[in-house]
Amino acid sequence: MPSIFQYSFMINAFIGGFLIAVLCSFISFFIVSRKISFIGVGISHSAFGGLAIGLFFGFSPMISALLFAIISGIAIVSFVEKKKIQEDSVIGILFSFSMALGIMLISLKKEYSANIFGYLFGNILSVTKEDLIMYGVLALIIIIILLFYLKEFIMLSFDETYGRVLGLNMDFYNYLLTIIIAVTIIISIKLVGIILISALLVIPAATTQIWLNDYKKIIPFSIILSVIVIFSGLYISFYTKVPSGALIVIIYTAVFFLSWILSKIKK
Amino acid sequence: MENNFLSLTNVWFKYDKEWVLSDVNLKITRNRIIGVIGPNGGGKTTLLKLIAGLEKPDKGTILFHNQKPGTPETIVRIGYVPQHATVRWTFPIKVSDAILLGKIGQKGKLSTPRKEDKERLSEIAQALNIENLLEKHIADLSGGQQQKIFIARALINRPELLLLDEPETGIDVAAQDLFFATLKDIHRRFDLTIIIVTHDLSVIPKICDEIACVNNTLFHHSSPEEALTCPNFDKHYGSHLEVIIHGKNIPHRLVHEHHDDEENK
Ligand SMILES: Nc1ncnc2c1ncn2[C@@H]1O[C@H](COP(=O)(O)OP(=O)(O)OP(=O)(O)O)[C@@H](O)[C@H]1O
Ligand SMILES: [Mg+2]
Repeated sequence: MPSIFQYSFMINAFIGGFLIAVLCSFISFFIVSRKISFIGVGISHSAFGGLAIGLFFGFSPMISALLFAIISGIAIVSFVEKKKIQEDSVIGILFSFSMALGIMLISLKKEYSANIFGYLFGNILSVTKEDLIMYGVLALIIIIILLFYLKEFIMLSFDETYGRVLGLNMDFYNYLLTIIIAVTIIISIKLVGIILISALLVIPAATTQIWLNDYKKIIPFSIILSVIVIFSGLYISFYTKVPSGALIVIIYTAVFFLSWILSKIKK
Repeated sequence: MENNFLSLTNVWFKYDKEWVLSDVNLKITRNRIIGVIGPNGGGKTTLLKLIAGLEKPDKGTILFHNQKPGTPETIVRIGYVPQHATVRWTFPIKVSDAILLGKIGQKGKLSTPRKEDKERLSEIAQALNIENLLEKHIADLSGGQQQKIFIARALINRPELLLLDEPETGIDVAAQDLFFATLKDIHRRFDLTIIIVTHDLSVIPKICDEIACVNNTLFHHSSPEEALTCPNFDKHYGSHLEVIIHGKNIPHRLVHEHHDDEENK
């Protein structure tokens, strides 16, 4: 049996997987504690419309998906903030419109249907060197922002109103975090897929929170756990040819339930 | 300079169409404890928000050290404990981190706690008698303990002025005396001026140097003793009040006579 590291695409997949593990689990802490998993679902599905537009009109699908993701993220947050519409309605509308638009455009160009499966569920073969360079730069920028504004993001999640008492521009941090979520989703699409990415934005912190009750521990442990899970998913995906995203989500779900059952037994 | 600690001059404020506060004039000097009383919806919380700089007056001026509240310089010098806690109780954070998170550094950004902040924290914890709570998780506190944590958080920036909005909420009657004694103690220890909104009128004579009565406007401001002589007191407050002043060594008492038929709205 050949070693999987003889294949350059596998090395790419592992590097990409590492970046995704770090970003998704860091962000999942804020998503879980603020109970905003709907934002992840809304943004990722809207990105599908963006992808289809790029494919249809022949420019980079990742760039159009990125634009769609950021715009829909900002739209969701501003609707929710202004309390004009209930968040599930906003997402229900955006989500289905974007998916419908995507399906319509793609069905007009038959040759893309093969690609689409990878975008929806992840494909380890799809990550190129160019992708990695872009992912690496974006991941670095995101990590720097997250660390630089960590206290402000913690305040946003713990006590937004008191943040305002202290004169902090909480709207700014809220939108910044939304843009970070959108960019992370785009980075994750090729390996994990649009349908499954929202799981990766929830399960890491949800799992570690079963065991830990201090954010200073939850964030690093979520990252370690995610690296292990994503690497195992990629590894098994290579030998079984099952889409990587599906495997990663299945392993993660298993880990979550195992933790949950163990914690119940312990009590 | 001393006169310019805090002053409100002809302050008018409304959220929508109706004036919530009209023509408020109030001067507060350093190192006093001011009790603010008034009926529900009278504008007490609004008054504190204006002083904290969270709302801006529509007319008139508020000056704290000759500056309008709401700038990074005034925010660090004013501690504010809102009437309703807004924290997410399930958030995974230790009490000590929750308090230190309120520390503002340069340019109005939150700052990483340094040695002096940790010293300040233990000083506050000792004064408020919450040292045994610091390592606990924020969700594992009783209502009275929570209230003290919020006061601790408001003190972390070494403010000169502390605004407390009904801090006795959640503290049982037996513990209230001790709680107010603690307030008096931090007032002395940290050279604090305290403005405290309260519905517990018995507190006023115990710890307050001044009393301010608010119902759409500031209709009375004096020492607790003088409140007795205010002729329109009942009318503005909306229910009958009787102030009883005892002799020298017996605590002053302000009695709120409750009528069931004119229950607060
Ligand atoms: N954010 C707001 N938007 C609109 N109106 C408001 C707002 N906050 C308060 N009000 C109104 O302003 C008036 C004063 O409210 P405020 O909260 O200052 O009263 P209060 O004296 O603190 O009352 P309580 O004793 O019940 O706490 C009330 O009529 C209230 O309905
Ligand atoms: Mg109030």
